Amino acid sequence: MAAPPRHSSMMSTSNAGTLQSSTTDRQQAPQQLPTPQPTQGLRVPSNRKTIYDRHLNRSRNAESSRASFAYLFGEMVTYAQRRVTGIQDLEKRLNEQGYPLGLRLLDLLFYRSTSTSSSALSSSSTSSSPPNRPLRIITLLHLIHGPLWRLLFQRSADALEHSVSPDTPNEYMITDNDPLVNTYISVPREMNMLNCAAFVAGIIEGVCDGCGFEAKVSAHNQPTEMWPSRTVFLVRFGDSVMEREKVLERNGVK
Amino acid sequence: MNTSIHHDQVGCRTAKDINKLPTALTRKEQADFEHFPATSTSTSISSEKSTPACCILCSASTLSIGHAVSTPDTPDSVAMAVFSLIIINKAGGLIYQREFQAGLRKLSTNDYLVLAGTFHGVHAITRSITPKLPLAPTTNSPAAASPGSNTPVASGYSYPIPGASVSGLEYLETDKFRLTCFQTLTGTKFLLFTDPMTGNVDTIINKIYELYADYVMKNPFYQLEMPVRCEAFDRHLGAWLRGRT
Amino acid sequence: MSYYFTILSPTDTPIFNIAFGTSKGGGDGIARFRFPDTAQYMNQFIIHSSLDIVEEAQWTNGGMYLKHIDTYPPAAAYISAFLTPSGARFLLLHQPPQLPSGSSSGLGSSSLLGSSASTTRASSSSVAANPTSPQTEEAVRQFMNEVYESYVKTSMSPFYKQGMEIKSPVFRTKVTGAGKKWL
Repeated sequence: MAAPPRHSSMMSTSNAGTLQSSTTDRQQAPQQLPTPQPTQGLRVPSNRKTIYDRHLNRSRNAESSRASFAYLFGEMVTYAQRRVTGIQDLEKRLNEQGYPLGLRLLDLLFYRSTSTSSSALSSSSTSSSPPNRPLRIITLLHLIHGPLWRLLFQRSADALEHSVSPDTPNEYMITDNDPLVNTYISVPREMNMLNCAAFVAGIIEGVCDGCGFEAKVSAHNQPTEMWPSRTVFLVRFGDSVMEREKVLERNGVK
Repeated sequence: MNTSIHHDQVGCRTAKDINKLPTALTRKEQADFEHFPATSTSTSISSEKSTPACCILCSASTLSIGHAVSTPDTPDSVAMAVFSLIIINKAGGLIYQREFQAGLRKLSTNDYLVLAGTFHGVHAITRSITPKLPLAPTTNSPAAASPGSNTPVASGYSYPIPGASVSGLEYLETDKFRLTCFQTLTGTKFLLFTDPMTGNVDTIINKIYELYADYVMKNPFYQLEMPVRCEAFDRHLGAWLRGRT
Repeated sequence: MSYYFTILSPTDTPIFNIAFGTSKGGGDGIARFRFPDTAQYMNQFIIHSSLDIVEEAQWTNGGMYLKHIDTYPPAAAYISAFLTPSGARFLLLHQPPQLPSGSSSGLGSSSLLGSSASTTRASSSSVAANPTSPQTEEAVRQFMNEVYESYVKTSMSPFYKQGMEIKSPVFRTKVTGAGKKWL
């Protein structure tokens, strides 16, 4: 793993320094945020390659071991379980672990789809223009249901539904018949309300929030005969989102 | 402990099977009694070339397991039958017990715990009584040089199967069932009761071990050395064994 | 042309600032704003005042690059915006150099001589001449995309949380490099 960007090369720090000093202080210095001075102990990777020198698409088709993930996720659940007050609390913690991941994945997802469409070398996508940011709820949900799910699990989610109840027009449901995170997890009977896919719900929440759609997402068990770990992610959008949705619909924004 | 074994129920097998069965069993039982007519422990070490560890034969009456076979329907299901599975942790505690055939004689929970503990002890004994064969001082065969760390060649003895480390009891056969014991590196023991005619027990045990590693050890809610209560493990184990028959 | 580039977090915190000048057409990459005395705070005022327009355009235009969205005529400042899907905003203020009103009046101020010489050369390049020309839009788009790549790499770091100031000198170098390359 490369060193975090803050611990980056001294070489480039000095470059930035010379650039600054050559500009007139009067104009420049107060506008720029203070450049961190190279302190002792700054370390760079031995090949002097920081994360900025690595290509983001390099790991695009790479796969990670399912077993390692299972162990890692198991430890995450164990960690989240420390000093929790109840199932709700545990789910909230898992949700919070997933949330920042959603924000990051969103950027990565768009970066990858733009870079492949512009270079069009090995991409399977045929669209030539970069994808648009989702403006409407449906586009956002399709983004989650399709590309995001494929990025995470290499397949689309299994269903996308809108609440039929007129009281809750802001509720949408994304169904995954066999969530990857729950593959090896058996929840004890006394905690049967718990669904560890709350972590994935956190990711979805991060993606929604990142796009400007305030939402609360929760994971619920809905086992069937064929799919014992079938999980429904309930996406509840905030009032502001629903209001905006109405305005956008009137204006004919797609 | 319950000491009854139901001999009468073998009669439901097809004639073809009956023809096959007795020859195999009688020969083994004879070998059985020849080996330990008067010793205090009812174990014997066979040095068959094909089995890479001690093979312990027990006459049906010396060890009592409360499992009685009930009327299997077809010869196929007989050949595949897996009766029950027991998992014992490294301290000798019973952490999992499940039956896969209807009509087995039920033991009380306490009896299962006693059984697990007893087996754990017996296993430890068989491990330590594995005979050490003295080596001729001149022998420097490479086979004798390669055994595991606990077979020091320098001290001048070897185990019956050179190259294999001492593992203790591996299987136990009666005319009604065959008990196969598989011990993991961490000391967990899997006891599988199968029909004596079942083949490829190693494959079955390996698959069970794999399922255990997946659905028990990767489950964040499972506490090590505690009883296994993993619904996914039950489900997959059942589905896999059902798929085999 | 002089540039002032800012990244704003989704919660409107400035997380990165840089000022630089054009490097095209013989430019030396040094920012020379028209009103150097007030530029240091005026640029920030101008950029932040365009946020309202960004937020309006955000929900009608689904693209990430919103192109030129705002102009502040008194300072001849043009603002281009780029929105990341996660809500960070890249805002670029560009100010074309003060063209001499005539070839003879160019030597009115001797202190400006050096810069005006470079700007006359720069004005021949399409990017610097017209802030709203398609060529400029394209150049800014390329610049934004390159910064976006670096930004994604920053945000992927486990030590970076959204909304934190980007302090990495490598990031700064990357942005400077992108500016040199495209603007």
